[in-house]
Amino acid sequence: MSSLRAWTIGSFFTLAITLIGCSGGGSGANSSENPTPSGNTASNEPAGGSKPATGDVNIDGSTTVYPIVSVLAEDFQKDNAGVKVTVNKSGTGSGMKKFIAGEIDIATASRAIKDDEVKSLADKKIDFIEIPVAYDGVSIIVNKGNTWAKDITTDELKKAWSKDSTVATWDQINAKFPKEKITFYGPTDNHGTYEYFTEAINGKKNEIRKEYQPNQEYTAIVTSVAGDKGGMAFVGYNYYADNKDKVNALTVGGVAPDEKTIADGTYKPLSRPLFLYVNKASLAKPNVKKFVDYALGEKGKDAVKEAKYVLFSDALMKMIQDHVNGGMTGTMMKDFKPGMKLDDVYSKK
Amino acid sequence: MILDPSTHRNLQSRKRFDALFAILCQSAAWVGVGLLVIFLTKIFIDGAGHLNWKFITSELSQRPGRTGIWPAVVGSLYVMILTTAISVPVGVAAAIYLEEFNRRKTKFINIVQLNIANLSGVPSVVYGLLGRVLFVYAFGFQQSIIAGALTMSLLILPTVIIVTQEALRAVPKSYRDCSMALGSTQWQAIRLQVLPNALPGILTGIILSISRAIGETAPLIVVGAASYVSFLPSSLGDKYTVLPIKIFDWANDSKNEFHSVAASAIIVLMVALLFINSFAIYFRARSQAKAKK
Repeated sequence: MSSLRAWTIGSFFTLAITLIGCSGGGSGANSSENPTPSGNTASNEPAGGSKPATGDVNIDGSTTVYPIVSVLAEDFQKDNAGVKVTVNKSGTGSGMKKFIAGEIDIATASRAIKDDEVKSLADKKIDFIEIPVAYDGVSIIVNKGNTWAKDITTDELKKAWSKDSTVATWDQINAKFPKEKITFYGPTDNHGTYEYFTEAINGKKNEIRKEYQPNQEYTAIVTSVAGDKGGMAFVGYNYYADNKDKVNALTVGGVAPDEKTIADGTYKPLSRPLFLYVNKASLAKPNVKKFVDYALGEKGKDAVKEAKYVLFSDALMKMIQDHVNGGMTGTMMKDFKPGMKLDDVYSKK
Repeated sequence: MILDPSTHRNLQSRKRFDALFAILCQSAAWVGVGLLVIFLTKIFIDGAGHLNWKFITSELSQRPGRTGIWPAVVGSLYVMILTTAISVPVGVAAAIYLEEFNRRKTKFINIVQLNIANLSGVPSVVYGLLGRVLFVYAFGFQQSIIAGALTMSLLILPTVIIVTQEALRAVPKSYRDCSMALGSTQWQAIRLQVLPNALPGILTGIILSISRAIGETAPLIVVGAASYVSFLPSSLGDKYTVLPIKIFDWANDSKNEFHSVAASAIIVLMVALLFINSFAIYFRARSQAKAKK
């Protein structure tokens, strides 16, 4: 008898869902390309709390900045139990889109904010605060078996990477190099690194040679170059620093990418600042404010070092702190060109 | 004609071909197993070092030596439970409607059927994009665990419907006829005769669908499962991460130590999947034993 009872109870349940299921199965036929019916039925589920709680800190954006911010978030969490911090890394461009849509409190970026992004934010009446957090040096990596190339000039880089480049072998870059086939690797166009590199080397953002193998993940790029004798790629400094046993970095115009040359700007024009963009309205949330202060303090420095990026000078840090504490909104980077130094930008005002 | 001398002359070579063919088929069967063994061995060598109870129950960390996977395990578990709760009732009910209440195959039913068959072959990332437009933005769920679970439900719904239909079809028509000849309604026949007999088949199909959902990464990346969360999800609106996402992240981290952490997480995920799949095998075995009686 007990099994009969179970079936009776079960049958009521099944009856209820059959009604839902019928309407679901039915409307599915009307729109073949858009299977929404189960979505409608599923909205019967208690969809509580679609709005984030006020105590949350939501961060998204650059893959390059992720190692810094996730270390910060972890330490912040330890010192401030109970705060919900979420960090994502969908790429600088994608993060900016979410920032403009008001979905996140902080966008991380491996390039300065663009004019059209500033405009979109203004349209949405979102005030933002710009915080540079560290320097990165875009590194040109080659295979360990590449015994010929040690140094490359910016002109040679331009020759190889520019939009109309037909360079296919190393000797076409420099006659001293052997006739070895080159394969060009690098990040996809949603990466700030891609935008920065193309602007710095080719003179125009987002223009690159035709035969180019883009990848969303830097580790895959490093692996490709490590397995390809003639390969060449550009990656963030930490991907070179963490993989020195697998790939070599070329010096650019005689300067090797290291902490000193990136910090003092002699690694030109490929050293670049990394940014956090904070929604000013979010700063009213105590936890977001606390997180920003945390990032600007000693813990921020530790995170930058741990993520193998390059610290700003104390003087520059002080200027940035004053800028943020003064509640200055908008971007300082409007006229910034690759190769320029942040110290000059910040001391100018 | 059977004793055609030319056939007889070829017997030797035909037998040789037969033996060769058997070897070819055998090696084809071993390719899959062999690759799996190589893969598993490598994963175990890489990942065994990190694997202990503390690894499973610790928080996520950006330091390879200290990180655990607990928030990802909990996230995966929640997504799995929610996905089951949403897709199973809807899928089973839809299958009952299509199989039992629509014996006359109208044009309309044919279109529905064709759609479901096609949808089950749609790449998972497409469901991710659909979920992003529909649940994340249109419904305003943002990057919450419910948006992820709804997307996963859409993903496995066609499979759940199809396996349920097949299980229902396997129940002999005489059961229904008998029941209705004794005066039961169609609903009573389904409830008391068809469903109990189809249940093991339905369960097996559902469990296999769910185990597919657990291993999926692409749709959840698109609907915004996070890379780092400092907390365990406690409500449907919370942000979340899942095991496959963390595996993907760690495998791509610049720090090489993280690659072995990824291997450890793969072991955990595989053991979980093995566990779930063995449930499916158990149900199937039980239903077969029952059928023999």
